[in-house]
Amino acid sequence: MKNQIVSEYVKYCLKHGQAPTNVYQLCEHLNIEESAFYSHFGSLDKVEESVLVTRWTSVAEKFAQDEQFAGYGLTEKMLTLHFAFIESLRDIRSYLLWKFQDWKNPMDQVKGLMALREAFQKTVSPLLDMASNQGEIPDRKVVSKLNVEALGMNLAFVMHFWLKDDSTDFERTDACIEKSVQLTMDFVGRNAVDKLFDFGKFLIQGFQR
Amino acid sequence: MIDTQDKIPTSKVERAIKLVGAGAKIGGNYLKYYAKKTINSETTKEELHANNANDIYQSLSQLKGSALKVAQMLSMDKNLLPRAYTDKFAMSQYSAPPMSGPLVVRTFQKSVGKSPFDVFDQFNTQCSAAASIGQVHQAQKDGKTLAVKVQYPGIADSIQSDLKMVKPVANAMFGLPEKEMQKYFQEVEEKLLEETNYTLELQRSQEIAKASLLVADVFFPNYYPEFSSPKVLVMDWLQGDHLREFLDKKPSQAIKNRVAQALWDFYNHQLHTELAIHADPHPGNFLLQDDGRVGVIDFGCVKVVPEDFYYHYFPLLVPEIRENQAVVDQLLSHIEIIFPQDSQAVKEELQLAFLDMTALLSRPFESEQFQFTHEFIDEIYAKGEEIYHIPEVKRPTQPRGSKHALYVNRTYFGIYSMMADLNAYIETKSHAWSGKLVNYWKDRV
Repeated sequence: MKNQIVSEYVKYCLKHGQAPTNVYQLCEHLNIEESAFYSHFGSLDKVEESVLVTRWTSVAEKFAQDEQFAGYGLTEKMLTLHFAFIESLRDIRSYLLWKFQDWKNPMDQVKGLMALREAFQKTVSPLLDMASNQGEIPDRKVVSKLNVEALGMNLAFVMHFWLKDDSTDFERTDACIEKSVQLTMDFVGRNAVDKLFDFGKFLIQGFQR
Repeated sequence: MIDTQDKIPTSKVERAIKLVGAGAKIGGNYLKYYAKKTINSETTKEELHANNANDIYQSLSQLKGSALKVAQMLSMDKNLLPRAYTDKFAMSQYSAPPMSGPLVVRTFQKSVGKSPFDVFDQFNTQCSAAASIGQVHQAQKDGKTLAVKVQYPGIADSIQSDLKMVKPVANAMFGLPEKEMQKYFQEVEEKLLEETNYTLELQRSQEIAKASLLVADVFFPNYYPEFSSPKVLVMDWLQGDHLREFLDKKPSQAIKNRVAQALWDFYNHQLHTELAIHADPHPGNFLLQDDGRVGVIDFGCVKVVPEDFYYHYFPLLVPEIRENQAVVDQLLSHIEIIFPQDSQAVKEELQLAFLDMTALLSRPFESEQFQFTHEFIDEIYAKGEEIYHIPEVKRPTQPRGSKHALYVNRTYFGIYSMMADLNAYIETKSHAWSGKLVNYWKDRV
């Protein structure tokens, strides 16, 4: 039922060119009692959030059990999640095009994507921690907390790119994911900054002696 | 396995900047030239061209895309750049940046409709080699080792934008307006775009393999259309060495001759019997066996030779046709070397130069056997440079040469230099096709 409410919500928006203004409208469209609605969602906002969140969680759950995926390095894991998530959005592309247009100012968008951000972090943070524990990426203490944000912003960027992409089969989005994720991972992984920091530490220790 | 260059400019913007860099530098060279000239009138235009060529090379050598390939092709064909540059051009190879495992899996899945892990018993997400516009992965199925070639997404678009960017640079190299160069660009663009269609490649591979069954010592992989698509090509994994590695193993001259003979027969068969040639005689496309047999892969670039062009271009390789002035006149005008509006002096000069060149190129066909050497290749280059110094060639008033000659010439340059690398002594005389050409022209003049 929960999934049905979400998918009918999407249909309602596309059909009417606007979101239902109250729960009653949606329930009428769904042909269910309003009271039945509340055993799944507390409000219409929660339904809207779920459109993206359910896509993300189903992608994340699919790979949580995938042996191939478990054997990947962090970059490959991130690439796979990006590819699969964008792929899962295909059938609601029209809805998203409408929704992103509807979010007139940037704050609406930040708010609209907040729930997706949380779901994303729930999946990605453990992956980052694991990579950090295994020494795949450096532990930069407080700064490391920014990694998950950077990757989340990358996902939002890719979504925007995809919504504007008109190449056949969204080939350019594939290339965009490949390049942007690798670039972001270059910052997350061991890089010149770590060496600079290490070198700085070395020099300071030298002076103290 | 893939050499990841320190810095491969990938984005269109970055590539554009590179090429703008070249353009700006060329401008600088002209300034330098005029500045020097006011002081020293001895400063020659050659110096200017050398400087320009150098800067164009510097810029292009950092590009690993179709832009480089175009420059490479045009320069090889026209003998425009001195040998040193051609060597450098030949060294740099054409390849896209390596794809990550997940992208390969995704591209395969989107294009074939199934995951490679479901299709094959084993699929290696690490790429084994770079192909011209994608990369090759090894897979296992039913005990067989397969090569899975996967294309980089969006490569067709990137070829088109690369070509747009290389045009001004190439025009500067030839000193001709863009409109006049159009037919050559069109030919190159068509061929490059064809290379992005693996379905076409599969079909051609199968056709050529079938047509060349009777050529001794040449063999081809089996192809698997059921797992292939426009972006994925699956074939048997062939063992063997590339020319360099093969030569490093110090094979006997007899084995080297066997390889050379196989290649020679294969190319002559394709050209003179099939009128379609594997036009990318890049050493990576031949897998040489220890016993001297040759595996041929990668039929992305096939030049179909129009019959009309065939009967007007290759007769020049036959000495007795070359001696018939009436036929020569027709041939040279048909293949756009000489135009009716040319002055008598230009006509004579160009004809002499062109016939000299073809006499040199046809030398292998004139005896039963031929010994290929680097001296022979150097002689061809020297002749090329000599021709380049003819004013009408260096600063042409109009583009000369048929567009069909581009890929045919490139192919034969490639073959001749591989022959020289093999120090080949082979049977070269071919009566069959020269007889055919002589007959064709017997009653026509």
